[in-house]
Amino acid sequence: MAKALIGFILGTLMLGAMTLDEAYTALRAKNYEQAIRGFEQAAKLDPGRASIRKDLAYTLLKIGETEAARDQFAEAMTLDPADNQVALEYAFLCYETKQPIIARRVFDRLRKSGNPTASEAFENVDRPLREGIARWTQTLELAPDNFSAHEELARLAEQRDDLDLAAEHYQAAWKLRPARRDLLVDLGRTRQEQGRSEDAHAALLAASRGAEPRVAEQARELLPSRYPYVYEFENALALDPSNDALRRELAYLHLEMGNKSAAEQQLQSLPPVPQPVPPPQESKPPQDNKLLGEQSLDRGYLNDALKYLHAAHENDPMDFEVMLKLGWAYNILKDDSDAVRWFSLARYSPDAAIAAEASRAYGNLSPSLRFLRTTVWAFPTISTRWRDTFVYAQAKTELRLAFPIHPYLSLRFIGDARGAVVLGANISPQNLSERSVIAGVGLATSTFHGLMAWFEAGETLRYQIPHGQTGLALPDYRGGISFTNALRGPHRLFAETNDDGVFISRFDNDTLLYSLNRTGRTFGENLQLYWNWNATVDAKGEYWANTVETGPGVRFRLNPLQFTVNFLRGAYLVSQSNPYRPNFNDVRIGVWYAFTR
Amino acid sequence: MYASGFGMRSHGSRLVFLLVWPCAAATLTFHVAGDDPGGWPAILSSIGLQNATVKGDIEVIPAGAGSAETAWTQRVEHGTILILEGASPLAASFGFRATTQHISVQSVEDLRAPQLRIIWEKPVEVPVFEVSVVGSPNAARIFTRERHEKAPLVAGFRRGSGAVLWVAAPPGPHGYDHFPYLPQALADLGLTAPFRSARLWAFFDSSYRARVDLDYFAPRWRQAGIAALHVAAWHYWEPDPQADEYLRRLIDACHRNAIQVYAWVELPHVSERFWEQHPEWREKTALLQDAQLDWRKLMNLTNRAASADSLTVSTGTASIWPSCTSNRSKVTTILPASHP
Repeated sequence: MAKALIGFILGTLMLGAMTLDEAYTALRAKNYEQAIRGFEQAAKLDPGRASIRKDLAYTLLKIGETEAARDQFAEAMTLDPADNQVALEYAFLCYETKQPIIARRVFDRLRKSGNPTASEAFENVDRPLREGIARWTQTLELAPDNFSAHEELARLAEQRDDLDLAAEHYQAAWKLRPARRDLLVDLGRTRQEQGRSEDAHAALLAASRGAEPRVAEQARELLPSRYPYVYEFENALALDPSNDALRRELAYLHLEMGNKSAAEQQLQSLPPVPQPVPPPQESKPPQDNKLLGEQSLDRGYLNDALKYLHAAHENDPMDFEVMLKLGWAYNILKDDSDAVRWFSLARYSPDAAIAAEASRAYGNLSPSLRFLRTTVWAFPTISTRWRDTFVYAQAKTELRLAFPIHPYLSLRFIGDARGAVVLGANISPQNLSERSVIAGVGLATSTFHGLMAWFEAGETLRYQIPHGQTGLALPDYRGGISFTNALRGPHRLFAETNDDGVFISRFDNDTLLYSLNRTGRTFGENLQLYWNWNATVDAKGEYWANTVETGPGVRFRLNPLQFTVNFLRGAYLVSQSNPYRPNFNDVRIGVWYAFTR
Repeated sequence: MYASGFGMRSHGSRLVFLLVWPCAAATLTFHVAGDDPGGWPAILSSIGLQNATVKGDIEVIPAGAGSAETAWTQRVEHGTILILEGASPLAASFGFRATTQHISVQSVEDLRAPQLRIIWEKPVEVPVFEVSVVGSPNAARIFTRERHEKAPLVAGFRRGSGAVLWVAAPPGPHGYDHFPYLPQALADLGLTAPFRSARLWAFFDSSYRARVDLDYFAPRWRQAGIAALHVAAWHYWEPDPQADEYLRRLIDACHRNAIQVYAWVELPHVSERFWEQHPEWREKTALLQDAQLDWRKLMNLTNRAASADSLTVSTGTASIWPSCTSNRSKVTTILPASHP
């Protein structure tokens, strides 16, 4: 008997070795199918040998059988848990084959043993989850009833193995949208992972009895194969009290068990009139259109999204969420005139979150589409050179026509704190210090390749008349051309120029040319460090209007404000009538604020 | 789309076929008995079979439809493919017998793709069938079964130069409602679809095929009729020695097998690195947030600087595509292919 057993074992081993040899020969000849058959056979003969599984997996990868390869690496990892390479391969393939939770877990285990590749991979998987959770949590603080935030947060938390958080938000999302029965399956699955089997059972049982066959089927697959007990039905009904199918089934179960009064109690809880059975129809039910529309939008199939969302809107013209989604679909398709229309409708949603989101989107988009567009900007600036604070501001209402020249009404404000500067902070002509309000009408062209022209006629109303001058109101004609351009280089380097030629009647019909140039680098989204290269000249040769200046600067944004701080060293190019030294230093701190309505 | 005779393990699974250009082939016909053909014409005409008024190469006997034919066995032996639906004496004579037990079917497992969840919109009550083949040397092959109870729903066997395919329930009004893999089952039973194309275009995303042997795949693609591959180009936007080498090997392997290679771009998505490096050029939504659609991250390529930079990068990439144009105005469309 022993000899027979030894003979059998030896025979098996020899057969295995021969099969394996053939597999490697086939592999060398790139006959992958034959190699795979050989490895599979060898693995059957010697099931405890991890290396066979490993080679089988690598061969499967050669012919693109990624999932099969992943499963073989899983086997190899079970057989040889110390082989980190196999575990890494398995984790990467899990990630590739849409099993990110397992991938993260394996990377996590490996990184704790000091594997640098696993550490990097773990971080790459974990960071977006972490950041996403933080982002959605913040969103929920502002809008606690935001369905998408609950759902996204739950999914990210589940992927991060934060099951308490996931379950909490799956449940919250489902409460907000009870029609999304798939969220009950998600909740049940998460509860199962938590080991809360009764809660899991309740959610899954509720999901398994519903109108959506796919969801019901998914739930059934997670439920035990036995028929549920009465208390399990009751738990499910406690979670989902409006589930009539579930209640009816419990009633029938009571009847089967002879509990007539309990059955009657359940039947009495059902709606008095049976729900009308919808006639069979070819088209998809409304919820499908909405769901398909949302999914298409999420995946970027925008034309499909429009089709489904329009169908959903026809089915339920009062679904404000569909209106909002239509707004988004059009917005991303760059059809903002339609987007604004849908955002405008969605603003009237009784759901505060939808209304708020739609209002914000509408507020951001609509100004650019209006015939009348009002822009207001203000630019307070502190200058150490003049030891003064200047304020420049303008409100401009423009008539936007298809024609490339737009008429506008303008109201400018120019003032400074000390009134010390009679002429010029040398920043820009319309910003010259003088304590005036200038009302005017003008024409401006559209911007073409950064170039635009404008002309304005109006009246200056001086609220403080400088010493030695007369006239509260003075005619004011001004106009010019403006050019703006920016170049971006590698490593986020940039160069930009703002060049203006301006005629101003009140300054003795002077024409000024000034050029503000910056070269520097952008850091993050809101910070720029740069060097200034500025020059100003004028037709009349005024000392204050002929300067060059240079120096470092920083520009950063704290929404909605943009701050600039420039450290400038300058020189006057005209010395005649100049009461100052030929060179100057100036620390210029400005705050820019603007909005359009 | 249906394609038989790939001779490989689902190699087409990551390829999306873009265009089919059928070639002339022998005409095959089908005939559905009775007054209500159901979804059968949709299924069979989708693979190029033509409807015959009397007799066809494929004969379908829907449940409840009678048939005057008595010599089915001989016809099958001589090449007819007989499709039987539900319980009938004829089905029983070929070994598909209904038992007294019934089952409500909603979740289905097709053994060709067991992981695929096939869930019917409405459950269908069918008898549980016993499948045994009387007088046949070949046992019937089960193609589809109920997922939980494993009751057979689609099965068939070859006999002589013909075959018998049986389905437990009608295929549904559209043809694909209940059994989406019926054409494949027919192919397994010996049906060769009467069309073939050697001019297919396919989309190829290398992220799903990072470690494959391209020399293994290319001849199989060609054999399957693929004449041009549209390769997802955003993986190759910036120079990367490893990725560039993969692309070169892909192009070489395709050219050796007479397959053209095109770059497929998804503007205004350019690349991950481009997105990271230039937050200032990102498209913004109406909420002034970054515009990101699933994996596509949209850049404002109407911004001249962004456009110029993306073109600089793309033309760098284009050098790998042998005959690609570097004409900047054309880069927004598919880059012209090299010629094998």
